[in-house]
Amino acid sequence: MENRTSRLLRYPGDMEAESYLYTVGPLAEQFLLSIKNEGKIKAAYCKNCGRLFLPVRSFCTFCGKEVNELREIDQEGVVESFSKVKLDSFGKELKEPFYLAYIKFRNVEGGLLHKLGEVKEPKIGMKVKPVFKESKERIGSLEDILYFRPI
Amino acid sequence: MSEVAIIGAGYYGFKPITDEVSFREGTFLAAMRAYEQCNIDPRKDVDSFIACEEDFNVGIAISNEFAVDQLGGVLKPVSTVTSESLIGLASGYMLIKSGLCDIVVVEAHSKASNLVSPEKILEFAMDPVYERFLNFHPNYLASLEARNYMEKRGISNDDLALIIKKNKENGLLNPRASYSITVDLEAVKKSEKIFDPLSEYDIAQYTDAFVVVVLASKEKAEKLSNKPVWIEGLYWCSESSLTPLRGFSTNALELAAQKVYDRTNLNPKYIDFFEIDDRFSYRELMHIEALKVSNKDTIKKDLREGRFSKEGDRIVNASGGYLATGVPLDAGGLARVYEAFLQLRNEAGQMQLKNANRCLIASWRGIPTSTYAVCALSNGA
Ligand SMILES: [Zn+2]
Repeated sequence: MENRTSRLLRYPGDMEAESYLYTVGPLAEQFLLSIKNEGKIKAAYCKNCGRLFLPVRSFCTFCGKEVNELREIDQEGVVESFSKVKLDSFGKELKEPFYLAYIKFRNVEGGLLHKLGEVKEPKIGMKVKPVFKESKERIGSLEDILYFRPI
Repeated sequence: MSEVAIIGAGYYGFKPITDEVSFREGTFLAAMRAYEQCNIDPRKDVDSFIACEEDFNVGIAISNEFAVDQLGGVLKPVSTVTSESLIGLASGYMLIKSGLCDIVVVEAHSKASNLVSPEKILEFAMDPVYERFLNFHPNYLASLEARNYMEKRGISNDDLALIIKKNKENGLLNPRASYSITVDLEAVKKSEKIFDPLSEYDIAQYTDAFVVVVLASKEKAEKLSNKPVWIEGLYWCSESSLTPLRGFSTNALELAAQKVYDRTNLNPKYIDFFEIDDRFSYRELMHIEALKVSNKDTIKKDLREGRFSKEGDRIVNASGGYLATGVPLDAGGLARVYEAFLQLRNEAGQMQLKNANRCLIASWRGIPTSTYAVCALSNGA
């Protein structure tokens, strides 16, 4: 504005939006519990259109119908893409960079984002499988999977 | 149903920092300029206002309540479209098409410089159960997509450098292109791939910008403007919100574009220039494919032959795009409308293209979204 000769003041502010407890949803809960209790990744199965899909939710993105069943899937995944992550979500440099990957599973729509481990040079198309935490350490979270490693 | 025209457009900012104004004055200055252009008084002549705000970007809860004063909209209908501003434009278009209003103002702005940690806001837009637990900078979602796309098409970092060079140098003639620069390809080549396989060159930075456009029915447009720009068609579309579920797809953009082509009987051959989202270099190519300006088999060749340059036959981002102007958050779509408005009225100064009678704009809401809007504009020639 014309009557300004110097920069305006800035007034500090925060959004009090730091803490939430997100309900994961009924079928996603089963998905996370099967990781915790069985050490298995399962996919949602839509009775209506016959698709298996990940991530799990209680409705079908493709045909719009209710979904209430999980099915076992082949635990072998394929790396669709990867990147070496050097910055965290604050943009700060990570002490230990890691490989982020998008992993798909046979006959399953969608897939999962997760880490790759025990790998020097990842490649698109590489076959991988999940490495789980010790069962007593699992809490029912995708973090119960440590990473995916090459087969 | 009346045709809908843009009769005025104004902006303020397009700078990395606009510390001389708050978001209120920035919007006010943009609005005054838009109103002056078509000689309207917002208190008397405007029937309705649309503001495109996202609370987390503004940093104020229920931020749409803050939109009325600076637009001259007190005691008038004001509604908020919490999305990409081209979808806000669509709302204004519908108000006129429906016959409810004759003159509608659409506003969008970015005060990105007020955001201390914009990457945390993007992370907050990711799924809390399936995506956030990995604690990575959200740009790595683009990294995954870029690597997948580059491998599928056989596109290298040197190819992406051609887009960086084209857009950043197109911007040298654009007063709104704060990030335009003569590009040294060697420097691009040597830059660290911090967002592997992308470097900072591949990623547009944020900018502060305020854009206001005035829409009018045919009758009002012909009375108030001697150079109305017509909205020939628009459409928008979203795919699944979850990145792992949809994978690396721009189907939603393809569908939105096809709707516009079908409804207007247009195809890419009839479009003189394209203004499309290029916030990541490789994304310009994905969007070009989705708009059917090229296809998966020809994209690499078309890029290397310079067909998307100002001298080419399919001009993409003559304004410099986001790589040159910066990304004004959700105001991006409206910012491209501003650029097209100038070109179509033959008012783009040194940037002016020779045959600029019809433009197609394609906007994206950025990662981690799959929301796109497409709009065809023409000067009626
Ligand atoms: Zn289904």
